Amino acid sequence: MKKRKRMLSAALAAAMCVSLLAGCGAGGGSADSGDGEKVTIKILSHWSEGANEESDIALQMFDDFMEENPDIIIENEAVMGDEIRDVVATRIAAGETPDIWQFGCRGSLVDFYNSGILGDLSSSYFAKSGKVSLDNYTQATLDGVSVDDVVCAVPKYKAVGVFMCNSELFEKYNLDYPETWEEFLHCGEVFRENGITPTNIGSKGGNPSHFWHSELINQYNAGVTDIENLSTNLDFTSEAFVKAAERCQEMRDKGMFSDDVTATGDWDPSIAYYNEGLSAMCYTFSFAFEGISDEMVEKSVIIPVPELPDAERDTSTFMQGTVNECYAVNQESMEKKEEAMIKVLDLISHDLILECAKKGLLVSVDSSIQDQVDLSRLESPMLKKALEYHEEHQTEASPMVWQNLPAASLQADYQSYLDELWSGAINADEFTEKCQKMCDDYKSQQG
Amino acid sequence: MSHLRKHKGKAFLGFVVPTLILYTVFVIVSIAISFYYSLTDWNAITPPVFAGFKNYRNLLRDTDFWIVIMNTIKQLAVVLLTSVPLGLVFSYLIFRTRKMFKVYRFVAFLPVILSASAVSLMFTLVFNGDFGPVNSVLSFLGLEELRQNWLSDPNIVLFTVMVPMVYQSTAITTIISLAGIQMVPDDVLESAMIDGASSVRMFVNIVVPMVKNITFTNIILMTSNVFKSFEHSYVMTWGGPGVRSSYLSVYLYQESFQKLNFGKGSAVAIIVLSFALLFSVLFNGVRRFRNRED
Repeated sequence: MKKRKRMLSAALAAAMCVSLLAGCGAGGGSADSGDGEKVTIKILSHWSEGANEESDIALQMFDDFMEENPDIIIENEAVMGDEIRDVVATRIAAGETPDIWQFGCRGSLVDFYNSGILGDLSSSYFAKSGKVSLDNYTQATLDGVSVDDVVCAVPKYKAVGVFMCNSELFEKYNLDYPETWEEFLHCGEVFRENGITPTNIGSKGGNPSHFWHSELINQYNAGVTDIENLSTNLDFTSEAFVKAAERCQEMRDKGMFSDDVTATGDWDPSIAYYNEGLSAMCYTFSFAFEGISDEMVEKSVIIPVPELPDAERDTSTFMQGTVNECYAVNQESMEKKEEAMIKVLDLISHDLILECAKKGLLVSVDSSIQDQVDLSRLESPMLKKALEYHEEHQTEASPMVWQNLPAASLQADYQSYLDELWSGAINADEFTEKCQKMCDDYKSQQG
Repeated sequence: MSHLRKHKGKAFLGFVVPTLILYTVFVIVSIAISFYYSLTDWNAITPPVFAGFKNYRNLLRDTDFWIVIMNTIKQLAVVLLTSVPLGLVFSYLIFRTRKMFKVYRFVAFLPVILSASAVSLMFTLVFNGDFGPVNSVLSFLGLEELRQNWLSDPNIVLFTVMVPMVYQSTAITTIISLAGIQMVPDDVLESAMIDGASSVRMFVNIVVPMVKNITFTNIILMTSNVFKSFEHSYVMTWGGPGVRSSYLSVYLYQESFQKLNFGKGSAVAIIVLSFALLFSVLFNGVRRFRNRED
């Protein structure tokens, strides 16, 4: 009896460990049809009270909107960062698919599109919207929110990339801004000798390393098409990909990254690293500009990414920075609550973006909105500086590896392997091998 | 007599059945559902598709999974070899303290009430290889060669993320052991003191054997904590680089929620259950054996 009791207690205690996952019951996605006469639109977003200026504007707009449209209730639920992917997945599993959610582009949308949760928005939204038109977006932007050439999400904003140098440190060590790879490595050597980390490019969860990796691949003509075709051919062994991985390894070996690449990885730590004067060069994007002080903006000089010795493209003409986020729209909600959905989508895709773009909180991918933005009146000095640079050089957005990977699992693995490459856990060959294996496994799973 | 038995039966039904129902629904059924999901291909978006033991086969072939298993076992070894004995030693030191006993007890308990995420964040800054105080102190002491990339070096990072776990676990074992030591009869300790036993001898020959069962409780508790541990690794390094600092629960999270492989994630959950069962049975077996020997 005692023995049985002991066994039972051990089994029950251990059983607690797995009850975690089972809470996610399967269920079909369904849209809330509203509360009586009223229609409820559920949004999963990054907008939480007091989080940032964009959030405050959005939440105020929702209140005003609901006053003007008493028959529509907007239920906004804030979820921070990439956690939104987890929350959406569990909501769908529980049969509580939100109507609209803020999401990553392209590859992030594939699973949802293939399962029928996302659908063609060309006719259901864009053709009927009074404020947003497909004609206002570039093809590259639309590609970012399309799966199988079907536009299944509404583009939100674009990430504006910069590579910049701390002019004070360059002057102090009598260095010119690097144009070539050799000059870049030489600057790194000088900074290292003087106890300064050359760049702020760390890698935690593949940030910001995956942007840099794509930046290097794009220096080759074939690299551009290799990335564009990645979603279908899933090839990590092309010459451009291999060379880019080798250059990343070279940077690591020559001390171009911080010592502790995980600690300086991800956006906020990497920008703080540069802002504190611990690194001489900075590679970052507009969503991290808030972390750069005005003093550092003044010291910073934006330059093109240094050219690789065998680069085939002029790096002053392109940079990472395509559509970075979108609104994923539940197709079922679009059918059941069309009028309310269109109104709310117009509010968050046009009115909100216009307001934020005018304040310099983001850069719209909608040309009709961006045309209304007066650069000279932007409140963010860093964004102003970045936009002036891109306007002067007429830079184009270059394709991104991460966005072109067709599944969340591939994106997560790719980011994880970049962390390993950056930290020295694997070399460039092993990185290529692991990435290719993940692609081959995915292909075989897809049949 | 039969009247009493009848009432006992009713009381049994009244107290046990509701709990049994809740436990069955929320634990047993959940485990059964998890097991079913572990036999499917499921991304949480489309309906699950039965795939047999494919997820388990894939896990066994996955080198990352084996790294994670080894990480978890190493963590278990480190926590058991440090937190349990240290807790016992600290609790004895506090017990022997005549002045400010309550203050020391409170200080020892402090790490338990701090959130694991907050503690992990603190240690992230402490171990920052570029400007963290650990490397700064090493440099200050002229021990430059001991400076490490604590959060990035694949050979070290696992042990770095174990530090906050050990820190908090030791606080738990200290408090539990202290409660055990306080139950040791005063006359036993007083007799030993009168006989001239030193503090160390009293600890080794009286306290340790008399709190043996408490120590086993600590071992079981720490084992269960290790299999559940998530925050320290995830907050400090996201389990990286790669999976170098991932434990089973971090790996489960990554597979289920980041990669949307809920089938594979459920298979990991079932494996965690199996490990927890295995170790519980193992430690209970050791305890029974020791008790029989005594």
